Amino acid sequence: MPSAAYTQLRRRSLERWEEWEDESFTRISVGTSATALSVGAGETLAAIIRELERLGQPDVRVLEVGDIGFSWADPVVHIALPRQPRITYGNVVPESVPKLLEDVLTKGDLRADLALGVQAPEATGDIPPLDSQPWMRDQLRLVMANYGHIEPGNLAHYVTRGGFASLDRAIHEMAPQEVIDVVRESGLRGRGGALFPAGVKWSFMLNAPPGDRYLAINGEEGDPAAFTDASIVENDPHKLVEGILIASYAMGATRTFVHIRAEYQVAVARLRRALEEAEQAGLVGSGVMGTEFSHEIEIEATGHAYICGEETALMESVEGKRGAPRPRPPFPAQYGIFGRPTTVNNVKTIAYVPTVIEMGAEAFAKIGTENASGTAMLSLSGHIERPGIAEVPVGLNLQTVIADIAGGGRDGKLVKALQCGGPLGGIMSIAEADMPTEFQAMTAKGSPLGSGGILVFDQDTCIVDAVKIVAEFNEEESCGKCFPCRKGTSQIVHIFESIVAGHGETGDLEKIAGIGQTMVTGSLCGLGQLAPGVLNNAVKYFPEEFAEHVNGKYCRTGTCSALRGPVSASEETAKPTS
Amino acid sequence: MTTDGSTIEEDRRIVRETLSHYSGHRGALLMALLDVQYKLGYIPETTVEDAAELLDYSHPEVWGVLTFYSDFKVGKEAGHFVDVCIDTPCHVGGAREIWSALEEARKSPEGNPSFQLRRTSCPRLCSQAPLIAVDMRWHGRMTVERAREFVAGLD
Ligand SMILES: Cc1cc2nc3c(=O)[nH]c(=O)nc-3n(C[C@H](O)[C@H](O)[C@H](O)COP(=O)(O)O)c2cc1C
Ligand code: FES
Repeated sequence: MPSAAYTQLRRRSLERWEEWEDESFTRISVGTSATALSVGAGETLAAIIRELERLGQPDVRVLEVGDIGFSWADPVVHIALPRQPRITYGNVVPESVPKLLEDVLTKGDLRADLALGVQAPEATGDIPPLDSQPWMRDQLRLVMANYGHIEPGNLAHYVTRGGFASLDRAIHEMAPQEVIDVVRESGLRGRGGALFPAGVKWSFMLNAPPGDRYLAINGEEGDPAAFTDASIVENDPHKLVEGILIASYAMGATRTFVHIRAEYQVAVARLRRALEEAEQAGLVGSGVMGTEFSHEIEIEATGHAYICGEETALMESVEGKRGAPRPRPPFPAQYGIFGRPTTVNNVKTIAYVPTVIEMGAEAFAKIGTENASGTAMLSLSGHIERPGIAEVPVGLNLQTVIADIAGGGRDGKLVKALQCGGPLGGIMSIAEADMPTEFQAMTAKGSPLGSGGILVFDQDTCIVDAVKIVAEFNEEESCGKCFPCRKGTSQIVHIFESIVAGHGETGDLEKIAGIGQTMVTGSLCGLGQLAPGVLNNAVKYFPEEFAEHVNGKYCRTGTCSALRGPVSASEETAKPTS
Repeated sequence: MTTDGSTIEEDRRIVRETLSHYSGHRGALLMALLDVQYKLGYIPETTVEDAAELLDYSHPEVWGVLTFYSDFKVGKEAGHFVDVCIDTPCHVGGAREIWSALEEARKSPEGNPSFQLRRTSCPRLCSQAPLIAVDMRWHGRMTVERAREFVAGLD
């Protein structure tokens, strides 16, 4: 049964929601994430407002909503006519706004040519249901349920869509230990890369001495090609806030530090707003929802430094120090931030928590596979037709993800390889991708899914060149504290430089493997231990391409300009051979 | 953010004003410097002494933070900033060609020297790769032609 405090919050929220969502009006919403803004969503919004004025349509309501995840179709605009379902339009550039609005609002032409789908179970004329589209039908949106539907940071919108009901249930009806048990039985594993069961991690805090205990949210998301953590904070910040409160109640944490890059200005601003609204409503601060439980949430806006995503380095950084990893033991649950017991969790891990409480352990555990329950949030980028964000049940076939959701190779080109899990993940050929999108299975293949970034390379990509960029990234981001990692990452870059400059020598690849081995065994933290993975994988799946570069001084894609390319090769064969 | 008409002294005034907001705040150095970076688009050299004085740190401590985080771009050579993301998704999306075209547009005799070209790490907008930022505003789905048009219009 909802508590009195929650019932009141919900009533007030519905009133505020209806200021926007009143069926008797036309409602237009524009997705404005940082990604959408980079391709003109702000200009589209301005054009819509201008055009409504010109058309004399003052009653039409306009709202900025979160991103629906279709970066390929940005700017995305949703239009709902009075008492009609919402239709989602893609690629609405400012120039196409006047005609679109005129047709839809005044001529009764729903412009099926620009529509991506209707948000209803049945088609509207020629416009199919959005959920039936190939890029949506395999998705299961738990964390992304509100993406594109609400104004991010608006508490009333979040509550109207069921938000904070899980917190209400947890703090009013469940003991902290019960919350931990549900999370443990749900099989929820950490999404920051190491896959540690969340409920087990939380239970370490229960043995801690009395006094302050902390939760740190890891929003560093240092992998290029991974952008789902930032998207949660941008598109549904209250989901994170609710997850933080439930987790903290379970662990008895008194304060949360949200570690997020200052550069993500849209995300930080929306999280600030979300926190302010939650504080005003008595959801954060002392006596949450009228109970004994109190909790403070602090935003730690930080700089770019890959190593700060490593949890002990993150704790140093929260303390205001240079982020360098600490040796373990002691473990964070004993000696963490400012010496107090601390749990570090990834943004996604915590964003699942309200759903786990809502669904219950058993129902959540049924989604996904035996090894990993729930969904995987994927960042899709590279040479594909449909880059963006997707959420799929763990275990969906990886080739299906690439073909249906990502739309296959861009401009009809063939996909050659996938780089998964960022610079500390791995690379696999597309042929290997006939397998489940599942954390453990992919780790076994040497391409851990990690933070969920999948970067796709097409047939024209030089694997050696792509891997060299990864090696350079790791060299740059090595914090330098331990010798094997500092020296190893830089030696590997040197070898790559000499290979692409045409000075490759037999034995180079063995040298790289040897250095990698030293790094794996001798490095202090995961950066040095995992950095050789991508290289080993690339050599394993693309041995000919490496051999061509090292021994043949030949680059089949023509990317490495110091080497012979395909053009000169064909010139050679054209030469008379006698 | 354009820096039109703003002088070195004006930038320094903004730096000192920004930093003073943070004095007395625990672990404030990083946040204060990030604030300066994202307000001005760069860190004036004089910031080292200003931060040391106003926030009570040593010069090496300030340099330590400025060199540890890749957000910080110390010094300014021209009125505008053009940043090119060079991490893997943008790299395979054509960032190298865009970089070369912009370098050419800046250096060639008929080019436009009014901007400073900088390499930047991934701002997590990879689904719109490749990207460049003009005066700290990111533009996605970049092409060599569009990048040239952007900088031709700067003065
Ligand atoms: C070099 C390095 C970088 C890491 N970067 C991140 C990161 O950006 N985000 C993250 O959540 N975890 C990162 N991790 C993993 C964290 O150390 C830690 O396992 C994680 O935050 C725990 O959260 P979870 O249990 O919810 O997954 C990184 C680890 C290493 C070794
Ligand atoms: S690599 Fe350029 S935005 Fe991520």
